[in-house]
Amino acid sequence: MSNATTVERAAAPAFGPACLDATPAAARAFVRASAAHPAAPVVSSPSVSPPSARPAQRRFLVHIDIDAFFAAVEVLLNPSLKGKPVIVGGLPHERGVASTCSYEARKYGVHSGMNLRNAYKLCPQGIFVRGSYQVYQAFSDKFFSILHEYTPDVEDASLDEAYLDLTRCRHLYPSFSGTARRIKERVERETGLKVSVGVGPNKILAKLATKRAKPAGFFEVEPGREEEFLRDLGIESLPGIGPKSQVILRMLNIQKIGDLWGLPRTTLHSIFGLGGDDIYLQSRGIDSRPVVTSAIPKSVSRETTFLEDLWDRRLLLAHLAYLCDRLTLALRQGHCYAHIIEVKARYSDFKTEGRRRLLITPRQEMGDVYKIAEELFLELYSGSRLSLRLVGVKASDLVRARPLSLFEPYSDRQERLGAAVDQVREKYGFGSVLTMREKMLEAIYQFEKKRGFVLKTASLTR
Amino acid sequence: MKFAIQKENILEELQLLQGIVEKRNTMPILANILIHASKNKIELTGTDLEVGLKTHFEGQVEEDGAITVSGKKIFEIVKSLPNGKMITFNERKDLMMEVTSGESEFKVLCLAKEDYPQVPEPKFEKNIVFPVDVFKEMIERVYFAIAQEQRYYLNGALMLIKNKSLELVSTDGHRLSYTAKGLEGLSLAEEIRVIVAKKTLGEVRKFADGDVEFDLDENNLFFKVGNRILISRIIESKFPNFEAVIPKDNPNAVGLPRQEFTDAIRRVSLLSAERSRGIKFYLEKGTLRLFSSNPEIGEARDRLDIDYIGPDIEIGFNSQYILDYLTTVGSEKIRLELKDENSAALMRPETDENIKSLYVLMPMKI
Repeated sequence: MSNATTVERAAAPAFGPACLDATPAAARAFVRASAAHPAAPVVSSPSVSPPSARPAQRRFLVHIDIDAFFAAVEVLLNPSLKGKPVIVGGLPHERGVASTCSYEARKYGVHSGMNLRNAYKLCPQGIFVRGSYQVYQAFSDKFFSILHEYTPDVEDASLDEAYLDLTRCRHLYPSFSGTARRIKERVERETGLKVSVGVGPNKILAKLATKRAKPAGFFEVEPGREEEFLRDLGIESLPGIGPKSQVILRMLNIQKIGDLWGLPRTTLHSIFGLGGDDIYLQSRGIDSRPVVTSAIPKSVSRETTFLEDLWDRRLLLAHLAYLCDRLTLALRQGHCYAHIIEVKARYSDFKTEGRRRLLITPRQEMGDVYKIAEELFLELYSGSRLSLRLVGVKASDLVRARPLSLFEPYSDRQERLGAAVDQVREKYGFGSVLTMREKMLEAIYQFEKKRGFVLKTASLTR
Repeated sequence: MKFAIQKENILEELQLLQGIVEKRNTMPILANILIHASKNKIELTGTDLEVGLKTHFEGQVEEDGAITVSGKKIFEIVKSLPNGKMITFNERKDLMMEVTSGESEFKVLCLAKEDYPQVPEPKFEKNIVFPVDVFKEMIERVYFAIAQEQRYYLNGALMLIKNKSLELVSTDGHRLSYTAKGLEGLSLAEEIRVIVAKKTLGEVRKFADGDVEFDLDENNLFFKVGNRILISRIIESKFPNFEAVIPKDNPNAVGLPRQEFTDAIRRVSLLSAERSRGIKFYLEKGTLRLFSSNPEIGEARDRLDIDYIGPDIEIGFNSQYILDYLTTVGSEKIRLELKDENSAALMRPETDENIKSLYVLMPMKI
């Protein structure tokens, strides 16, 4: 086995495809969520696929990512923007950050997460767009519906990014790479958006392959060539290595993934803790994480920055109500109940405060969640002499099963109400049913019956 | 203050005080214990203002006096000294206490006794006495159902002392455990109904068997066992109306062999969702099927043959809550009584035991 690094690598295990997936956990990868679809009644759900008889069998994973998603959608809707630097997130004089920018804008040094004012300084000729979450959501839905035609094992990493595991469908596809290329073509043809596709035996290699493929490309890490592929990639391409870790590693003269192979696991562990173990394995292309199709999210949150600072309590509560409405819709769609509701407020001086409540009975309905959020918000905000620039609401400690309370009589009224509202909205749009409190937002925001209010902050995360 | 005592005579008392003194550093003096010596009697006191313990024993007191010192340090010092040796405690003028034994010598910083909080004095005039072993066994039956999170629910159990009976009730809002024992020795004109802190009940469990003498004033409960008195602030809260939620006429009942039932639930719960521990029961004529699934791991099934002739019922429960109960009751057979998938279930031993126990459990929507 070749040894390109100058550092001694006695402690490192043999590198090669044989050890790529030969962990006991690889077998676990087959027993995955796909079988128990969240919407399906528990009993009738198909049984989980048995651990494969060949645990060391090579998996076939596809990572697919829409290029500059929000900006690309804007260009599609307004072709005159084509070839121009497009920055989505807000207008240059507004507060907030760029949520996506086109490749043309990236040439000027603009990147997502950058303050809009700074983005403007770097790229004054850029075209700044506020963006519309609901439009992006619609494109995202289309994107995922295409992916689901190829395999049930689809993990949505975000609105514009997915992992597909084709291993279970191996009998359907004579050539995995060919299938992956066909998926790419179809998504591009049917959505009009360019995507990058990476193919590999596990998540980390597929994702790194996509990075290599960008923009609009296709890259496959072929069996036996993993080491060659990884060796010269910069350490920053590993997900576990952030800016701070990069500084530490560069001090050790470690620039490339290949350089990491010289560090014993114990050394990485002592520097980065548990994250060090991940770095150790991922730098060798070892990753046994399964593609998770219906994992319960850690949390669901909705927040918005206001067009201008607000102090009017009624308007603030109107925003809060609208966010709770959006949040509880997501909870119901994910079949989740929240044990913790948290409200966040950012004052005009940028100080941010939060309040949370633990719920003995977890909740998912608008009426219940808003009531709690309102109490928390008023606790937080009353007495403040500052205006606010942002409010947010977050649901966490999510569960699928809901314990009933001994001391509250059982009632499914809220649940039936929620289901009825969802049905009406399904047919006539989100804006067709709103509370009076939410209606107050008409004074500020553009209203569309189909999409509801067009708030300022669009976010890539669901 | 100066006294001498053999290690074994003080060590156990210091150990018990470890459970009482405050561990979080909110008020430094609460991490201390008060040592009071006079007329060959040494008294130790610890408190976190909610629960306190007073204990006394005999020793050779050379000089009367009182001092407070870190409960943890003094315990560690005494524990480290050789067994069977005499230990001398000597207060110096500069708020230091010397602890000496053989060639070992410690000087420990003290705080003035005046700074130590007042611990209320019981009178024990009511003549309420019951056996510790019965009380401990009753605590065992309710302890697990006291809410873990103080923020969620009240952090104690209801104690009812009636004429000729003692009852304990605990709940965390999803389940309720009730236990009662007839005690001929109890004679009361008026029943006593108080909430006892979880910590207090936990401390009573550590007591040696004998008799508990009970008393209360407006704010505190007192439990005296031998030379030890536990003082517990009454939790000022309304206990929910528990009588109303104990099902009276759940029509669908089944007897279950406790061990087999416990084992099956343990197995199926291995693949239940980590947070909610939910498992599904399918009760049909002659069988009970159990099922759990976790989207991230997989699913599990099990089956018991049972004598059941009622209608089919599909109902979810928190498996941990069921195991909590099954592991505290002794009876060979357990009776499970259900109404429907949205109403409380009742569990109890099929044949009455020495101590009565009922367990009410709300289902879980899975």
